[in-house]
Amino acid sequence: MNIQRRTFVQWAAMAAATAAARSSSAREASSAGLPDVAARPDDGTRWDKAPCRFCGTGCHVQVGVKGGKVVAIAADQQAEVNRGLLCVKGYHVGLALYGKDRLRTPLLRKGEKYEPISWDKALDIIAERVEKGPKGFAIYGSGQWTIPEGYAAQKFIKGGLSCNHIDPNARLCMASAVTGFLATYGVDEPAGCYDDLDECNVLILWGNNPAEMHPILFSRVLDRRARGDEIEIIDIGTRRTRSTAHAQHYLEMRPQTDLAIANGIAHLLIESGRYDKQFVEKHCAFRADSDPPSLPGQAIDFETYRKSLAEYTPARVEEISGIPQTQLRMLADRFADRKRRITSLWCMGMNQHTRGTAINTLVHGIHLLSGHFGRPGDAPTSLTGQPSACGTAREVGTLAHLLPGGRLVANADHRKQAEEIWNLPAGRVFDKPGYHTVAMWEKFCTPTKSGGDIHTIWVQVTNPGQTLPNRNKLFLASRSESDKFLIVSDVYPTATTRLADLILPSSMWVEKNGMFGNSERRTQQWFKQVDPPGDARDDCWQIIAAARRLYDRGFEGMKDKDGKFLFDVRAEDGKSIPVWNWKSYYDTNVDRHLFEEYRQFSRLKHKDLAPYDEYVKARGLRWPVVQQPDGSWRETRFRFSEFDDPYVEKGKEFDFYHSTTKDGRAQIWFRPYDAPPEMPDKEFPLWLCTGRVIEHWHTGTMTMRIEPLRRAMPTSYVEVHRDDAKQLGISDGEMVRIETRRGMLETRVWIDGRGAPPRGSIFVPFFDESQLINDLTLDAHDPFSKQPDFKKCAARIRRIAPASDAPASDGGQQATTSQPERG
Amino acid sequence: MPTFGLVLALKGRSDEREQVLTWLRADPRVQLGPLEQHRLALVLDTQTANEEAAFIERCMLSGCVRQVDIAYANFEDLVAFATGEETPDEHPA
Ligand code: SF4
Repeated sequence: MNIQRRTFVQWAAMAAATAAARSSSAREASSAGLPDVAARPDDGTRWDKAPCRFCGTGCHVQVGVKGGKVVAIAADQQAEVNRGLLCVKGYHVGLALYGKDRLRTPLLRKGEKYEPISWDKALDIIAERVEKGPKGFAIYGSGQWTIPEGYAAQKFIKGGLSCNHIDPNARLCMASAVTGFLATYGVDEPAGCYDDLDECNVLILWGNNPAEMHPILFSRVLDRRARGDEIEIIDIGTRRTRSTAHAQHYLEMRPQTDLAIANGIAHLLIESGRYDKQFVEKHCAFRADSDPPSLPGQAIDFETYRKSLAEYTPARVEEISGIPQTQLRMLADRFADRKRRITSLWCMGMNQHTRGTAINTLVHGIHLLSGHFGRPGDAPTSLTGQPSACGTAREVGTLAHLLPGGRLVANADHRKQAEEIWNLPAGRVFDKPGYHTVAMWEKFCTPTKSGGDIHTIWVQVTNPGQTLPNRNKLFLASRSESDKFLIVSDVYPTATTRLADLILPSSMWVEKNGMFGNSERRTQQWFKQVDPPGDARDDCWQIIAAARRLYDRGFEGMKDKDGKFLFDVRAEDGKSIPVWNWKSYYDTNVDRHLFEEYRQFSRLKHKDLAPYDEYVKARGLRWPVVQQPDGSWRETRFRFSEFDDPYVEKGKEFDFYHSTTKDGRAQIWFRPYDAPPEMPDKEFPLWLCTGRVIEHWHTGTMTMRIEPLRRAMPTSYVEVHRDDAKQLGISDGEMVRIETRRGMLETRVWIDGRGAPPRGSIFVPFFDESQLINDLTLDAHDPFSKQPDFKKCAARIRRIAPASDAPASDGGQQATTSQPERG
Repeated sequence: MPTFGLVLALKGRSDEREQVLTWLRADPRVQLGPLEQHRLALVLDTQTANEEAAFIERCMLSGCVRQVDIAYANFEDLVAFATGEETPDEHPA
């Protein structure tokens, strides 16, 4: 870079940093007329907005493009979510595009090798796999699909193949949050939003580590504290994390015992008469598990609820959870105090849980019982790990039991509505839910003759070869079944592509148009800004092109009831645009067409979306977005509260208008504590917990290719408590073997590292594909959400060699995992 | 090599903060911007990839910096390097 250019870049950096330093609140940022980096003099860099590619926080960045490449990233001053700031991953997001090993051409497995093939041939192969048996063809996607991509994929499966076998990896990360919301309010997704973080006096982290996983949201809270606001942070967890360092109270519980703690709080509130009687009597009903268990459960009265809680005395809760009685009473006191505002945050800790639905409903229940609901700052809020887990997996309905806009495949009216919008013959949408993630992969791994009726899975935008629990059983086993075919669309080689039969190179992030929906119901839009490398193409195009190939081969499912193509796109003059031809794909904005069709689904559950062009102007809008008498579109920050939600009848104050009891009431559940399915014993005496680190995003396929992030955290490790290490005779940095009943892994020990597990407990992150911890994890899952528990199983550690014998260089970081060879 | 616009959230007494500011003023890679309440804007112009991590670490260890946030990153040299488009002139080691 020459000197003049460097001077200019320095100027731009200072302008952005100064604006961010000044904008201590979004309202100040948007009203102060601060310089926007995009408004700088022209230096040949073109700037445009996009949401960050990584986590569910949904920060907006300004993307600087020069010479057809993304060369700079600035935090977006106009974005309410991040207010001119980004975390360590966010400012590196542009480099995620430029790993040297981007996939550039379709590849077909030939024995142990891959040979390049044309897209034309690849589409024929996909079509043949569908024709082999449409009901055995599944798509496994993710919360990183854009909204139009997910919409197209589920229309392909549900409207085209009539089989419903589509599920996203979001099943592994937030399915229990969905069932928790449904069981409590009758409709999915948080009532509050990030504004709660600006108003709360108490922030409770339920097994949550936002300092590393949602750093921009945590910064927002810490910044308030630095400005003199009094905010109490209470961290309830099984391991000390970076978030703990900022908490006034750390409550270390035994794994799974959050249910006992929640019940203990409710018990204390009721027995002391300090619950919010007025709120409860007016707006709530009580519920407990039915026999047989069902998501809606059965109604109970207050007295039954009270009696059910009776055993959760402070002494009993201490016995179960290890939380001292004084701390439990402290929590109950906070909830009893109506002057304070309490926000609860959770993510994987509560969701990746065999009782995930239960603990989600219990935390909602404490907020409802105490009346800490529906005022800014008073909110039970789940966060998502992926940028569009809400927008694509939940709202679009890429889960196996859903149709768009919160509809259910099992509901005849909902199927009829989908068939009408899609102009399909009656009965086209199949009435049984498809396989959820664990079942789908189980069927794929089971020999066909033994009932394994999924013969092909097409994976897009995710890496199940690294993330599925009990990987040997749920992923690798399929690779020795000769009639099972794995198609993978991705941007880099991964643990999944490595065992695929057909690999399709994809465009990523700003190499394509896109829309995401973040954790606070905010729908975001961006335009394509650079070209993808080689022959890489958009995932949405891949779906449409495969559908068209089937249509051209006479496959009836890809025709509507008038014989027109399922993804027919028309220009304003009514002429069909052949968007299935790559060269024509960007002749129109396919995202706009798909989104406008999808938008028709959004009103049933009051998740109203604005027209596409409104999102082009905004840094996202939180649904329901409702048109005002003057024609403008207004977003909603607080659902179910009269002061902000346009769907709450005037004078009602609160209205849970999708109530499962159809009386406007939310449900307060009783759910007992149950022991986890696998606990430490003599043979496997330790708890194993898995999770993430700040530097890497999920399986590291992008961030491990960003040199600064890779160097900052190059390999995985196991955190061990100092006393356990001493007892086992292992030292810091030493290679050890971790074993569970399902597999083993060799890795290095980190004592007093970033996180601090208590005695009897170890932690291993899952980002490192050279150390596949999911060979060891448990595939037991929640009965309602079907979400597996990655947070607890029984393990043991063995020494391999004394530290002095282990290689000291990077080579010593090599680790092994138990992987059967492909047959 | 990458140029960053950073925001340091400062904590501690003003004499302690002054120590950090002195150290920052002495660093040739750093240009200090305005201090807005407790938030200091600065530019870090690195010579090699990954320098910013060590810089941020040092800030955090100073005891007077509560947090370092990033508002801007220009990495065009790194992109040119990654995509094999840089020339020796443009990319001094
Ligand atoms: S907090 Fe999440 S969305 Fe925001 S910059 Fe970091 S990774 Fe991106």
